[in-house]
Amino acid sequence: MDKWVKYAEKKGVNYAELKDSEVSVQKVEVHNKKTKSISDSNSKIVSARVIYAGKQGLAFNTMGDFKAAINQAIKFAKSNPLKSKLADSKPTKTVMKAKYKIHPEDISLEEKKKLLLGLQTKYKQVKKLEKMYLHKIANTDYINTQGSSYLKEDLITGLVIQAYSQQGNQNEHNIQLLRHHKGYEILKDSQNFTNKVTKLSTELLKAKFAKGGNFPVVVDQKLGGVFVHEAVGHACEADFVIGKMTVLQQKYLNKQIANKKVSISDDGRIEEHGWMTVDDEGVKKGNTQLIKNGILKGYLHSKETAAQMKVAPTGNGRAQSAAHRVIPRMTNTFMERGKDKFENMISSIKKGYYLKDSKGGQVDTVKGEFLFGTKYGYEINNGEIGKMVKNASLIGNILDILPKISMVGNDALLWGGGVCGKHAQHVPVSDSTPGFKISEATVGGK
Amino acid sequence: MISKIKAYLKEKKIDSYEIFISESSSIESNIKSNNVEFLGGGNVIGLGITIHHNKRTGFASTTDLENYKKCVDQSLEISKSKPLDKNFPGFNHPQKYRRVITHDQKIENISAKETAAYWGKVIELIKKSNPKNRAAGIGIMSSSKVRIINSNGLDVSKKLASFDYDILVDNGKTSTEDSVSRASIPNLKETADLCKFVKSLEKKKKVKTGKFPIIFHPCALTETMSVTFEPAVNLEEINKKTSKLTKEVGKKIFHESITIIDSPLEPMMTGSEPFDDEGTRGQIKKIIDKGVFKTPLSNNCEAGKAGKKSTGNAMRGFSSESEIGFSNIIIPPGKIELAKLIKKIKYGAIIKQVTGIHTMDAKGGNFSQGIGEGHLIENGKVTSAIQDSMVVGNFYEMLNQKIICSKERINNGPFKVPYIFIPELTLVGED
Repeated sequence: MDKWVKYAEKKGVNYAELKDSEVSVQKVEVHNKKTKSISDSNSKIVSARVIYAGKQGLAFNTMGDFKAAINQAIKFAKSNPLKSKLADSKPTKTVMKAKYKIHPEDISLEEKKKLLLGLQTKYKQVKKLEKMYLHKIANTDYINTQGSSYLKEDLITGLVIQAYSQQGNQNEHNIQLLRHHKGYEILKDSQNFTNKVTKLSTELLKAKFAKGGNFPVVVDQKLGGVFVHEAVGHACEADFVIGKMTVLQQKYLNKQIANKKVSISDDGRIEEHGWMTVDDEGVKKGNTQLIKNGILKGYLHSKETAAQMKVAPTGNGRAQSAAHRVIPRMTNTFMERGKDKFENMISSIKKGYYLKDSKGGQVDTVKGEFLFGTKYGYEINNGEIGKMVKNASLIGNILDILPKISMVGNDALLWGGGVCGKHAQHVPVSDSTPGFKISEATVGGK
Repeated sequence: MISKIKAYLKEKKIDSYEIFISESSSIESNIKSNNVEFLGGGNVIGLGITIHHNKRTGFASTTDLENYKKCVDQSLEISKSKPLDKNFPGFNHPQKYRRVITHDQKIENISAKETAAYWGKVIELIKKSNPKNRAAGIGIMSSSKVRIINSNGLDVSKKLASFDYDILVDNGKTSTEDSVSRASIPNLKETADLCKFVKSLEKKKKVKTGKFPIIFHPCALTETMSVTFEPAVNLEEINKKTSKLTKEVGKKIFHESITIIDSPLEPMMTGSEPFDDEGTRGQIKKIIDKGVFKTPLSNNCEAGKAGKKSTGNAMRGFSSESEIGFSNIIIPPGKIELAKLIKKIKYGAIIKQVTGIHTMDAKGGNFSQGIGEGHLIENGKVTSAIQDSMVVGNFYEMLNQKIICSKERINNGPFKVPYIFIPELTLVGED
């Protein structure tokens, strides 16, 4: 790609970065004991991002044509009415190797099918069991005019289990994903994973709907993870700060916004689903402290937002693919462990809920409002865990709820991996917290 | 290229095949703090090959068209791992299509400069409405040409294009966000309406907790329908018995005032097309007729399993096999104006947006969502915006109540639907 960097420089760009990426995805789907579908897809994209006459443009194509991409990016830059600047970053040369013990391509389709066909449930209420294997191999070659380059080899292997259970007129459905930046070895325990998914789908048959209202709640590690992701992580993305599109504005920097028991960070080095030692602009990713002892400490930056706020980039510049714009995104976001015991959190509540596991969430960073859905939970009555509940959602406002985190558990972090959507782009992320108590939150039930 | 691929399929003695080629181009524009701050875009060409060989199907895709032989070989290899496909209905034969205007041709050829100029007008209007207004958003103009060729002699092409954007207007006191999808360049009146709407959100309060009459805005209705109703009327889910409506075909599931039509032949909507992604002609179907579930939506594969003909609802890109989805969804209007429906309500709400809709129970239809944007109705009048409140219910129970459709309808993307008056839904707010 060196010759195309020179070509871009010759065309007069102030900055250029080029990406050459190849992605292949394999999926095998088995419904009950029958193979439903198998597919293989391969795609190649080259892209050029330029700053030309101070303005930014990005172009891509699947024809491997860097010349066309550079010229089109310059054309986009010329049409762009606004000037852009990117922060300088130390030139780095990184090779990020995929981490695996068994490469999925060394396993035959027959063996993958056999694994899925062998996954069964012991629960008779489970009427349908759908199983999907997938792996994604993404190799990206990157170079920029600041002297940085990287070669990223990424491998994600995964298993999706969906269980449909039925008892009388009651129907329940549970879907869970097991996926890592690892190889086929992660599927070693897939029967255990299937047991957990199918067990929950049968337990939900007996659960009652949560009652709506305002209650104290204890959230578990996985639901807590979605909370820090939605309520804090997104609100700390610097493009939202610059655009005044988040309630966590700069006037709150170094101010107390949460209970002092709350400390939250983002770290791409942790080998979870948001693993990324160098971001998509060639910037090394370390730990970025967002909240320390309840005080807002910083934001997540790409090179572009870092230049605008005159700070160093944090290595959070990410794009879904070579065809997408780099914007500030989270990697692995987590709340640090506290000192409170789980049993003390439960015993401190007269009437409330212990809510577990997540169905995802959404935040409006401008208004500071968020919602997250829970898979299930339990009533808390007079300091004791009671009956199982389902279909509970939690809403709140970021600035109202952070001070209401009154207890933070001493339990271990339990990471949940997912895909985060922003500006029509999806990237892998992970999040976790210890269990924690919110002194009052609005719970929606039936 | 097509003749080379055909020759190779012949050389491999493949029993039957379908070649799917798409060429798409897009322009993405980002707006922040009343400025167009980013323009980008590109072109993607992709090839998907489906084969049926020795009574088994196989599929593979690539963007490397020169490497078509590898794609054919992969699909053949995959077919060997697939079970016998006893219900394979065969690929489509050539058929006659009705002409349908799918989109305004201006979108196909719009340049980056023209895109920036369009946003310039939108931003001017937003600032003119209130100098304190700030706009942000993301827009994508996309166009594609799809060609389907198969071993039965079918060789058809279609051109599609749309303009999709999310726009946020913040007036310093509050904000509103709108997701717009059009088969033409959107009228600036929509921006003017959004500016009026944001002002109406300034005064806010929590709702009372309890059961009250609610009006679902077309936005909230279509979001909920997409998550729970679209998969439920999908024949694949019905064949698998994983749809809530598996045993309900031919039965009354909604109030008689509800009729839901799927029509790709409706012009200039984003689901408009003369044929689906398998080349089946576009058809007008009543999914729900006066509350009765009449027609599940299908593609060739699922219709074949049920011994029926496809409804022409196959959807796919070059990199995936055909799935089933809505084309355009039309709900006929009622006879009562929205203003009169509002007047009927002593205490209730009109809900435009619900938050976290993807977290709802898609299979069962239960929802427990935040009210992202909505207004309180007190004594027949809209009094204030709603904050920190939720709406809770079940989609199927909700539309089985004595609902009333408004005379007004809103067209957004592939939907043209009215406001729906629901006699009773649970609101959660103040204790």
